[in-house]
Amino acid sequence: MAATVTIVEKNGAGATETDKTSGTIRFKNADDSTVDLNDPLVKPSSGTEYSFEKWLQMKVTGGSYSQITDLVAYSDGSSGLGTGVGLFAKAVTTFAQPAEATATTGYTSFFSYTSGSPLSLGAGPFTSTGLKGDHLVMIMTVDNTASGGVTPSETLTLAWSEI
Amino acid sequence: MDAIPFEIIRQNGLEIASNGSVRVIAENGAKIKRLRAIKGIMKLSPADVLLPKVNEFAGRLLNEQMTAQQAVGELLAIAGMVPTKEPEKVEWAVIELDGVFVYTDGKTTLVTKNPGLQP
Repeated sequence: MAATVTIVEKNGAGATETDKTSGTIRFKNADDSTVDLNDPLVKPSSGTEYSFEKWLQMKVTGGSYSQITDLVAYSDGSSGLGTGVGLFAKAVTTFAQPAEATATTGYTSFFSYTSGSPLSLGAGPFTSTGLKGDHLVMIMTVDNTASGGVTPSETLTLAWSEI
Repeated sequence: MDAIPFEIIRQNGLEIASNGSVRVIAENGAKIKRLRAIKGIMKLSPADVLLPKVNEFAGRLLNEQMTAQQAVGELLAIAGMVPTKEPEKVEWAVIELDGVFVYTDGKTTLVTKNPGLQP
C-alpha cells in the first residue's frame, strides 16, 4: 500500500498543524490557518502589502512504503491572480513561526516553478511516517494596481517519487 | 474518482507494478518506482465564491421584480460556481532501464530519457 500523504499548514510558535490537502490556504495579515474574512490583505495606496508567511509541509500519515525521494512543488506556470497580486515561494528546512513578510528577497515567483523546473523540497530519501522534506514557504503580495475582492484560486502541485 | 496508486512487488527476480487494471513488469535489471502527485491544493473556499454572489443576488432580489423561475435559475447558477472538485491524485509508474524511462498512468505511456518528468 502506498504512503498516505497530506499537506499541512503550520502556525504559531508551536507549529500547530492543520490539514490543507483538500482545504483553502488563506493568505492574510495574521498567523493562523483559519479561512475567514479577518485580517485581510489591504490594497495599499502606494507600495506593496505583504501577507504573513504560509508554512506548508508534506506529512505521511500512514500506508506502507520503503522510501520517498525527489519531493517537489510547482505551479501551472501562469498566474491567474490578476494584476498587482503576486505569489512567491522558497524552500526552508527549519520551521520558524510565520511572520509578516517585508520583502520578496530570498523568494522566487511561484509561477516560475513549473513541472519542467520545480521547486525542490528535498531529495530524500525519506522513510516512515511524519513530516517530510523542507517547508514550502509562501507569501502573497498586493500592489496598489490590484483590483479589490477575492482573487481566483491557483493550482499548487506537490509531487514525489516513491518505492 | 481518485487514481489508484500502483502497488510494487518483487517476485522471482522481477519487479511488478499493478494498479488493479494495468500491470507493468520489469525484468533484466529494470527498476520500477511510483511517481505521485497531489494537484489542486489552494482552491477557493465555498464562502469566497458564494458570499459575493449571494449578496449581489439578495440586493437584486429586493430591487427587481424577479419571477420565481428567474430567482431559482439564478440560485442554481450560483450553486454551480462553487468548486466541488477535490484535489486530483496523480499516480504513475516509472520504469527505468539503462537511462530510458517509461512513464505510465495506465492510460498513457511515455518513453523518454528525461529522468525528471513531473505529472
